[in-house]
Amino acid sequence: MRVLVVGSLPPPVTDRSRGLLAEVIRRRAEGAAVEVLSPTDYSVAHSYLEMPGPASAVEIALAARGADMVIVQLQPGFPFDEGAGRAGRAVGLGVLTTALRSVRGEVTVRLHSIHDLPHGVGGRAAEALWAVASHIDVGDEETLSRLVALVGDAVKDKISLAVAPLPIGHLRDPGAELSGDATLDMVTATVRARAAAERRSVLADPVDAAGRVHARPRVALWEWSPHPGAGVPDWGSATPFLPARGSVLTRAARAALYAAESRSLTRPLARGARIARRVARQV
Amino acid sequence: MSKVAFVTPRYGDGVLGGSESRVREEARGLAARGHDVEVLTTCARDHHTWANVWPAGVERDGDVTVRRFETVPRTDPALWASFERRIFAGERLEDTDELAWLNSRFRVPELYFHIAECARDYDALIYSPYLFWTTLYCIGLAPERSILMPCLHNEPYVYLRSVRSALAGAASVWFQSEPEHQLGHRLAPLPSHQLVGSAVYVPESYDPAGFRERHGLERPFVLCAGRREEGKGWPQAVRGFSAAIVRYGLELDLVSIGSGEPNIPPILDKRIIDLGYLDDAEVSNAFAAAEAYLQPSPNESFSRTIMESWLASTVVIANMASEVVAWHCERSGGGLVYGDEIEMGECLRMVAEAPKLAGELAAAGRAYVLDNYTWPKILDGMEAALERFS
Repeated sequence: MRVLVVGSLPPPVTDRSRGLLAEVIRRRAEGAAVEVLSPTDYSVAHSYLEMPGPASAVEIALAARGADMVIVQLQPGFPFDEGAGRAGRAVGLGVLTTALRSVRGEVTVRLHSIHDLPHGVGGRAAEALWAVASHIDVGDEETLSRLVALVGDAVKDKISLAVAPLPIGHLRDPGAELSGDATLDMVTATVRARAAAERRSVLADPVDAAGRVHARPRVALWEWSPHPGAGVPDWGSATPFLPARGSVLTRAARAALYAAESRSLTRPLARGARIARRVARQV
Repeated sequence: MSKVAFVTPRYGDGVLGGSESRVREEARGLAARGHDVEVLTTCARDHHTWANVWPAGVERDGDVTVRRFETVPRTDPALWASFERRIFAGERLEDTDELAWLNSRFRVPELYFHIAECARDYDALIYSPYLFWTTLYCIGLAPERSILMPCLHNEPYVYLRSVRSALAGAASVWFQSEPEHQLGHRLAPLPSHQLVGSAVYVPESYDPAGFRERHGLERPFVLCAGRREEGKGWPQAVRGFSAAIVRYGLELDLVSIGSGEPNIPPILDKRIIDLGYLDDAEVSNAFAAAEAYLQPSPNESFSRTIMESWLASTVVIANMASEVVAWHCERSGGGLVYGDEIEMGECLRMVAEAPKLAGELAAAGRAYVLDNYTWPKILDGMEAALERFS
């Protein structure tokens, strides 16, 4: 069984990303081949959505071909930008719904929290999405009750609480680890995990817990630092780097692509061009 | 006995690199002492392409169970290169940009899922070295049982927040040398940490004459071993060596062994001899046959090769920009360090003109290795450090 998961796993480690990770682990344990397609290019995933906002629905539809199940997580920034108004929200949800209609297998829509869907869980566009879903998994009781109150009877039966978030990192369940019957090993593990999280939090400041200012980077390459302790030369501000390979035409095209990507207005076009090139190469 | 997993980006025959070799020896050593040892690694051999060459799945390496997971190699080299350039310019990246940079090199999602599923089956997960997806992404999954063997050296990458976060967020950190330990303290609030060191095997015998004969080496030579890369100081070694033979008329050749394109200038192709990749026994013979071992790398966290050189009673000439190597040379009294090409030339000249003195220095180096860096001693230390996890 092939399962496509669309959403962000850790990092960063949040309840939402841990929840989706728990879902992935559950499906894998059932023997499914899980592929993760992420909207954030730094989260753990097999591949990433390249097109911004609503345009990403096209990628989802392509990726979902051949999948027996698609699990889509609604989250800030997906399927519409966080700052989008009602119209942007409607378009984002609408094209995602259209993309999911083309899926031949089951569709599960996940909503970890009511706050993950700006402007609420209601509205025509959202209702169309709930209708196309085979299952709707929510992360907490509040979201469940709000959703149940808003949607019709036909949809109610689809809604259920999602599996509990995976207790990774320091975000483990203290009740389970530190209850009266916890063993010394369990308590020690919790203490160590919490201490690790605490030490990491200290790094938020440029000065460490002992009051020392962290050293600036030093580049230990021969030309620049013939002896330990030499400083980094002042190179001024960094400029975008483009590979120098290829013909004049290729380099000009790359530069144009880069310029287009750096502007929000032309970014969708540039990303579209990049995807088209990749698809053409694969073909 | 503990159940331990080493998490490392590359593992197996033909994988070159000090930390990779070290992990393999440690995994085998602990397994030979009765521990249940697994290695969680990728299917990649080449650290430039990260292409999958070994099949994914489970295999055995002696007593060690090796679980391989497929990499997803780099998809956007321009993005990666632009971040890389900003890091080397000393620019502070946003956390998400750091992760995107790391993630765009290669990633191993199936390894991540395996650790998320099975971390509690292991007493300890030992991550090494620091600068890879396999460490920086996975170490946070089970911090209470994570040990970081970072193999730090002072380079721009160590100041990345994700690296400092990994140092702070492990349950324990194992260092190889005092300079590395001090660098760790400068970077982050450290958890419990030990100076476990590292080690090399002591060959039973050497065959220097046979080595010269097999490779047609008629003149005395200086050896340079490892990856032929900018970051390992290879171009500087070529430049310094060529200046020295011109300036002093030295009757020494430079023999290079290891991986990577040596890019030898045509004018020097009679004096710089590339032997490519050699097996372990032949590498030991190369050290024994050399007049001196040249270590030009400024980026060393332990430097196995200088230990192997000293064991073979060959003097070391090393770049003092590597604090660790300079520290070993000073402690042992077995190596000469240089700060620039002229000093390198003078070191080579000393070896050519005073071989007896070079031999005495090398003898001090050999005693230093035997006193501090043999596997039984290092494995004893690792076992003691593992006790708090079992």
